[in-house]
Amino acid sequence: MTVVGFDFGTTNSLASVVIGDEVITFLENEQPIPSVVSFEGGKVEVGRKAHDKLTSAGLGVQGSTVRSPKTLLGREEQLIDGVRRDPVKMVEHVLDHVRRFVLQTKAGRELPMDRVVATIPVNMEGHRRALLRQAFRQAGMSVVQFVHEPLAALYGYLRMSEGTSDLIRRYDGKLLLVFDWGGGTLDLTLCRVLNGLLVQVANDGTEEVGGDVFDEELRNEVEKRSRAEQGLGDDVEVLPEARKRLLHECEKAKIRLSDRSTWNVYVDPYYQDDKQSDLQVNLSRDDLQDIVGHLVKKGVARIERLLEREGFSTASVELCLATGGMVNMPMVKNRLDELFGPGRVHVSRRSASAIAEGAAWVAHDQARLHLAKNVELALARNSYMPLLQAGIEMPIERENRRERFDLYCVDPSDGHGKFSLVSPHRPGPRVLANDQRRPLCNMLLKVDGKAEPFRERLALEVNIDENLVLTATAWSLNQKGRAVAEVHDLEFALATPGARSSWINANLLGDDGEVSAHESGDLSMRSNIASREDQSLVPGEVQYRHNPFYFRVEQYPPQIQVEERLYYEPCAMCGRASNDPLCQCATPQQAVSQVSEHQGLRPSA
Amino acid sequence: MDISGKPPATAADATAPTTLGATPIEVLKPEGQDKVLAAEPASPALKGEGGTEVSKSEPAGKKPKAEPETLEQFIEYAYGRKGQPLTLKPKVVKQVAQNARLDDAALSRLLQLASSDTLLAVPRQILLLSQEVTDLPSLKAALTSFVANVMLRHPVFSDAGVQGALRNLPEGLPPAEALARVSAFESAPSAEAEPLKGSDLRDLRQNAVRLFVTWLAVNRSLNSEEVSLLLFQGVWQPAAKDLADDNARLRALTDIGQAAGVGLACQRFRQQAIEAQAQQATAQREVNGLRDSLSASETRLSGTEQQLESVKEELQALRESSSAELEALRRQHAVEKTHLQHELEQLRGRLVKRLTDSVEMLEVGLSALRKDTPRVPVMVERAEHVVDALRVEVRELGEE
Repeated sequence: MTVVGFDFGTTNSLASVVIGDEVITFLENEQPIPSVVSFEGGKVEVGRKAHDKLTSAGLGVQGSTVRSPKTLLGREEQLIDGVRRDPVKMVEHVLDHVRRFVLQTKAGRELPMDRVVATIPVNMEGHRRALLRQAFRQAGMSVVQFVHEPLAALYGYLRMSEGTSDLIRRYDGKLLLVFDWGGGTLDLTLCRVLNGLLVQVANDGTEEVGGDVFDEELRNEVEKRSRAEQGLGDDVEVLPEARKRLLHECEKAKIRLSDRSTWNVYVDPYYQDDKQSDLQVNLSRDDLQDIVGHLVKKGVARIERLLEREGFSTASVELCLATGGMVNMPMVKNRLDELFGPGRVHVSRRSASAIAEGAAWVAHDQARLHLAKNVELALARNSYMPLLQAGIEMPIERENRRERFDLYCVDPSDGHGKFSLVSPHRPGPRVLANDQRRPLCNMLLKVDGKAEPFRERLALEVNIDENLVLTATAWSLNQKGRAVAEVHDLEFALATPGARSSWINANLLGDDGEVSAHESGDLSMRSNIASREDQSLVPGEVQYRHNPFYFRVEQYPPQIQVEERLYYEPCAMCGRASNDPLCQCATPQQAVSQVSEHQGLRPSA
Repeated sequence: MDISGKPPATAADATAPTTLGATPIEVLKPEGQDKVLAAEPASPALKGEGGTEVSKSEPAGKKPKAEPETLEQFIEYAYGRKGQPLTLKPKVVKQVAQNARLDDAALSRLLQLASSDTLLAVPRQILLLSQEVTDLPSLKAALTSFVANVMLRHPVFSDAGVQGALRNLPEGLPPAEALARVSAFESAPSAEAEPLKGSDLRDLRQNAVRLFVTWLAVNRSLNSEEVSLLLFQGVWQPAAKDLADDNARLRALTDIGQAAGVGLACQRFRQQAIEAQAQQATAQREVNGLRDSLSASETRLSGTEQQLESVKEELQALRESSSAELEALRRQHAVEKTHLQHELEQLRGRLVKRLTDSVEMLEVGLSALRKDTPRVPVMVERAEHVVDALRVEVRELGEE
C-alpha cells in the first residue's frame, strides 16, 4: 500500500510519493498548489485561481478568500461571503483539491491517495492536529503519522543525498539546523543525530516574517516611491484590483532580483486619476535589501536566539539546511553564509518541495517517530521519576500509548497533590539529576488534607494519542479528586534507515498500547520497608517496584515496617492496592490480621 | 498247466483259502488282491478235482488240475481263482490264444459266471493278465473285450457318465469324476439279488474303483502317478477317512499287506513331493528373483520419481523465479513508465509556465510601449528577460 507524503503548508501544499526509490512531486506547472480557498456565491475555488484573487499579504480571511486555512484550525466558524464556514471544511477543500490534482496526473492516477504522512509545523498544538486529521479524513485520506516539517525536510535531505549512511555517520553527534522559511512562516528546528536517530533538540517558529510579509512590505514601498516620483498624493485612489496586481508584481520582482541587478515594477493602469496613470518603479537589488533587509535580519536573528536559548553557538552547528521559497533570496543566503560559513549551509535546490519529499521518504521507509526526551514527574526533594522514557515509539494511526503509576502524597496538609511533568533538555533516556528541565504541564489534585503523609494513594496515567498529544490524568483514591493536563509540544526523534540506537527501544510499552508495564498494586513509592542500607535509594524516594528482599520476616523487622508493608502491599486476594475502594475482599483490619497470621508475624505491641 | 499266484505277503494271506468253500465268506486279501465273496464255481470245468486250477500253495501229491486250453476255460479258471492274481505259462497262453474266440453261448455262460462275482473281484485280474500277453493281440483283445462286457453290465458302472468314461466317449465324465461316482455307488434292490450292505458294499466299491482305475490305465495309458492319484482319490483317502482313532490308524498302517504297491504309491507321491518341492524351490527362487527384481525396479522407480520430483521442483523454482523476475521487470517497467510520464508532465508544466510568464511579460512590455510616453526600459527589460528565459529553456531542452 503506497503512502503519500503530504505537505499541507501555510502558503502552499503539495504531495510527493516515492516510487521505485525515486521521488515524484506533483507540481502544477512547476509550482506548488497555493493553500488558498475562495468562496463566491455557491462556487468554491481552490489553489492557483483562488490565489490570484488575493489582494494583500497576511494569513487568514481576506474578503471571500482564505489564505492558509490551516491557521484557522481550532478557531470559531468564520463569516465568509455572508456564510459561516467551518475551518475544517476549508482545509478539507484544499486537501481534496491537492488529492484530485494528484489523481488527474498520469503519474498519480494509479495511486490510492487514501493514506498519507502529513507534515505539521512544530508549533501546531494537539487540538489543531486532531482537527487536521479530521479534515484529512473528510477529504478521503487517513493520516498514518504526523511529522514535523523541518524534521521531514532533514530526513528527505539525508535520504536523497549520495551515500546516506556515510552522511549520517558523518553527522553523528552533531547539531543540524533546519531553517524553513516559506511564504507564511519561518520554522526552525535544531536536531542532533544520535546513532542514526534524528533527534529534535529545540524548535522555534514565527509567522511574523513569512514571505508574503516581504511582498507586502515591498509593495507598500514601491507604491510610496511611485507616488513620490509621480507627485501623487495619498488622496489619489488606486484602481480596483490594481493593488493585487502590484502585490504579484512585487513578488515577481523579489524573485527576478535574485539573478538580475535591477527590475522595473510596472502596473498599468494603477491610479484612479484622470489619466489612469500607470506605476513604474525601478528597483535594484540594493533597494530590495534596504526595503526588506530588516525582515531578513529579523528572521535570521531567530536562529541566533534559538541557539543562544539552547546554549549552543553557531560554530557548533554542522549543517544548516535551508528550505522554503525565501531561502532563494541572495540576501538570505548571504546572511546564512555569514552566520555559519558557506561550507555548512545547504540550500535545497528543490526548496519548495523538500518537506513533501521528506514526508514521502518517511512514508516509504515507514520511519517511526520516537520520543526524544524523557517525560518525568517532579517529586518532593527535587527528584524526578521517569514516566515515559526517551526512545519509545510514538503511536501512529489508531494507536495509543498508555502508562499508569501508583503514587502517594508526601504532604497532603494543604489538601492538594501537585503534579509537575517536566522534560530534560538532554535527549535520550539517560539524563542526570541536575540536568536542566523544561516544564511540560502542572496539575493540582484534591487530596485528603487530614490524611497522614504517604497514606493516600494517588494514580497517574499518561497517554499519548495518535495526534502526539500527551494527556496526563491524576486521581486521588480517597478524596476522589481528578486532574487532567495536556502536553502538545513533545519533541521527537525520527529513525533513519538502519538506525541502531541503544535507546530506540528503551522501556517500550506493550505493542497494543493498552498494557501497562506495571502490575496492579505495584508500589511506586517506598516508605520504611527497607531495613537495610541501599546506596542506590534515598529513604522516602521513588522506586518502581517493591523489592521483596528489603523485607525479611526472619529478621524480625520493627512493627512500623510490618504495618507499612501491609499497608502498601497489594491485596493478596484481588491484587488491588490495600486502600483501593474497589477492593472488597476484606476490611483492611481483617486483611492485616489475616495476612499477619498467615505470615506468622509477631502481633503488634 | 501251472498256475501260480503271488505268495501271500502276510500270515493272513498264507492262511487264505485257495479253493472255494461252501459258505460264502469274506476273505481279506493282501493289497493288490481283490476281496471276493466266495461262491460256488459256475463252471464244472473248474470244479473239484477235475479243475485245472493249480496253485503253488496246494499240497504236494494232489493231482494237478487240467490246463485251460480255450479262452472260455481260462476265464472260468480265472473266476475260479476268486480274484487271486493270475499267471499263465507261455505254452498255456499260446494254447489259449489259439482258441481265443468266444461264441455266443460261451460268452453267455461266462457272463452268467461273471454275474455271480457280485463284488467284481476277478475282472481286474483278467485285465492285468491281458497286459502280459502283449505278443498275442487277439487274446489280449478278447480278454479286454470280455472285461469290458462285464463292466458295462455291472450296476456299479451303470451310470451313463461312467459308461461314457469307460468307453472313452466325449460325453463321458472325466476320470476323477467318474471314479467318484463309482466310489459312491449305492447298491439298489433288484429282483435278482438283495442289495449289498456294509462290508460287501465297501468291498464292491473298492474292487470297482480298482477295476476302473486299471481299465483307465490300460485303455487310456495312464501313468503310475495318475493311477496313484486316482486310487488315492477313489480308494485310499475315503478309506482313511473311516479310521476313527489313532489305534485304528495304527492298525491300518501295520495291516498293509502288499508293500510293493504302497511303496510304489509312496515312491510316486514322494517323487511328486520332491518334484513339487523342487518346483516350489525353483518357484521360490523365481519369486525371490522377481522380488529382487521388483525391489530393484521399485528402487529405480523411486530414484526416477525423486529425479522427476527434483526436476519438477527445479522447474517450479525456475518458473517462480522467472515469474518473479518478470514481475520485477513489470514493476520496474511500470515505475520507469510512471517516472517518464511524470518527467513529461513536469517538462510540459515547466514549458507552459515559462511560456505563460514570457507571454505575460511581453504583453506588459507591449502595453508599456503603447503608452503615450512609451516605457521603453520596461519593454527592453522584459524582452531581455524573456530571451534569457527562452535561451535557458532551449539549453535545458538540449541537455535533456
